Amino acid sequence: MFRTCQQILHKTRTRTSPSHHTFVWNNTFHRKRNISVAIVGSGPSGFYTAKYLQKLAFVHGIHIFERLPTPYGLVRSGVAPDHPEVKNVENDFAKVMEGGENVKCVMEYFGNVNVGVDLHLDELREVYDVVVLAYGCSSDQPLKIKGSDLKGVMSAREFVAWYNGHPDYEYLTDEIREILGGTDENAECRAVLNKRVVIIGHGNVALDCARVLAKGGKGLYATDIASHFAQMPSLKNGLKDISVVGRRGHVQGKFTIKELRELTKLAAEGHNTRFVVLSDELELGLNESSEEELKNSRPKLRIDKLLRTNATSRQSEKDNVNVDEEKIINLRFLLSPIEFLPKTNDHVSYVGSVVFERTRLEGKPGEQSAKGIGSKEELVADLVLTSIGYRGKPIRGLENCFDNQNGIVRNENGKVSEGVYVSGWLKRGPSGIIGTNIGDARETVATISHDHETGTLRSNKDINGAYEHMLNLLDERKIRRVDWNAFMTIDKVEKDSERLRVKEQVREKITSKSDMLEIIR
Amino acid sequence: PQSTRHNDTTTRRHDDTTTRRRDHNHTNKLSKTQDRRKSGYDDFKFDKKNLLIISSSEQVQENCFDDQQRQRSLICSSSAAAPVETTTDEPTTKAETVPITYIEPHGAVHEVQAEIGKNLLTVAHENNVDLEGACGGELACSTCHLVFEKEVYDRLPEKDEEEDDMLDLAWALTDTSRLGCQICVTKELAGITVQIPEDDV
Repeated sequence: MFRTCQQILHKTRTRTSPSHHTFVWNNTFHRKRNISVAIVGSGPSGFYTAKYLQKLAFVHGIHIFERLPTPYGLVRSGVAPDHPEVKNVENDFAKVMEGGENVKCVMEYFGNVNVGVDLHLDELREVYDVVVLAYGCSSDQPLKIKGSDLKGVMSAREFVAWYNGHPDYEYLTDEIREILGGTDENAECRAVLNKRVVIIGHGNVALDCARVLAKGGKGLYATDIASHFAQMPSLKNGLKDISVVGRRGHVQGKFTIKELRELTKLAAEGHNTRFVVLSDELELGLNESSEEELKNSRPKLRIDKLLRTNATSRQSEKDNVNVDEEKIINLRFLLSPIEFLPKTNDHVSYVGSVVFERTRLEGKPGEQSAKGIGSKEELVADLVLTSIGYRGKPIRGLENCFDNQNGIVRNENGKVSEGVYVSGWLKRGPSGIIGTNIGDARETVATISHDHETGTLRSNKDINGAYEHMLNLLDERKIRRVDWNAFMTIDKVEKDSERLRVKEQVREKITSKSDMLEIIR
Repeated sequence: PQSTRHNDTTTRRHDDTTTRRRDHNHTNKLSKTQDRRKSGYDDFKFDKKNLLIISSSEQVQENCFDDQQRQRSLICSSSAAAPVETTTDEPTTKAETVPITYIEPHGAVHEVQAEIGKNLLTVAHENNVDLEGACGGELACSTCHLVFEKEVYDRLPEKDEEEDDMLDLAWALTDTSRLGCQICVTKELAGITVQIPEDDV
């Protein structure tokens, strides 16, 4: 007898064999585009996660939540202003948000919505099938030594956010002006400011700070550096003496060769800055374990070669007559900070110097630590930037899944709990570059995909319902959501030629949240 | 100078004046603090090549930065084929191509017709091959990393320091790795196969 397709399916469903039942159910189930996703955070980890989720047939819609009105996370507020090519990745991210003809996944942007404050994580979980936490690390690894509360000591993260125009750090302008001995706005400032900066840490953030402080407003005028940096009189010509200091050797340094090479080329490019590396400090760090670490790493071998080529001896540095107005960046090794001392003049609440202890490396290759050996060196410092790592924080609702030791959310291949996942620095710790988030996001998306295949993913939250629900909720709480078109407006205003310092500038950043919201009213 | 791009329809924002629509209403809404103040650099010159401000007595310096930019921009144009001569009946010129095969990390194979003169990143994107190019081909990342067969690798033009520096950061780096955005399609590359390495976390 001829059976219709319906009758066959009906008959199949009533069979008691569970595997057969599951197979049929999953087969039709998988073809449905019915999973709704909320991503918290719109930096690289959030956007790469969205990019790969978009490619899955079962994802119906993705809503990206961002605390600031503007997206892109550290690409906007972390990448140095003289590295504009690195920011090209924003084009990729905009394409993810804009979707396109072939993209069936619905995309929405909820800017100026602070998940954890404006709404609770549980409220998101009620409304979306999947929540992915991708809000990165907004805090610092603390350097808990005596004097760390003196004025003039701050984290590199804060300083970078400030010169990149992050709205939450605008307040630092007055503080920095005070620390550097701010001059009258209209005064001519031709001399290089004779102030000393000590940057503690051996990563690219430390090198960025050094390079930006050496170049000064003049050297960065045509970039998108915030105007409060570019036009601060005391920063116009850069600062005279900048030291980047770390407790281990050059083989252990986390910086990468491109940023190091840049420092060696500053003089040739017209920034009147000399880069100094002491050959004896390079030798000091080359014990047996370090040699072993070098052998197995092409990147480290090239860094070793670059630094040796540019190294000078301590004696020739002493003999070197400091060319007038020349700035210096000193890259120092095997010095561990033990105390910040205040200024000895009237300004006793301001930092005056940093006391370091000479260290020696001990341990097996790949796990060497720095042990103090007693001798001290004191470096004069008017400004100290600690650059020893970012740290994540739990938003409300995540306290139980937070690993306080490592500053990350506990997870297994990106899965935190039912329906909750994590991507990026919040998942693996604050390491790697923008591209590292590609593999990281793929892993989290694979975990989500696996959960969907095995039927453990809930799928009863419609994306359109979620959208309506969110709009109502935000309206009730008087939260002003910034949608993608509104962000495009802010973006356009930043690029408006009438606001630019010079036409070569890519954008003139708006550094106040209220100004941004005023524009899109 | 035009730099290589992974997507020919993306424009560099600071060169493009057509898409920048001025909306005076929006600009006027900004608070006083955003007004452009007197810069204090008024008796300084702006060095357009090096993009920095110098005092009027300083000379504008020739330096390697500008040369590098020019060098990068020439990477593909020297091997670009001249457009094929056409009769007035044909509306478009057909560029010369060679077959190139891309293999994605999980095995998907794409055999494409690669236009001579374009770089391997652009070709991948134009043919829907899953190759990242986060920085758009400007030597500021390593996501367009490709692995070549040894015989092909040995015949490629030598990589410069900048490419080598970025390769240091590439995932699953091999002895025959190059950045796709720095390799131009030529007749000599006809029939080659390139592997896109897997990005292991």
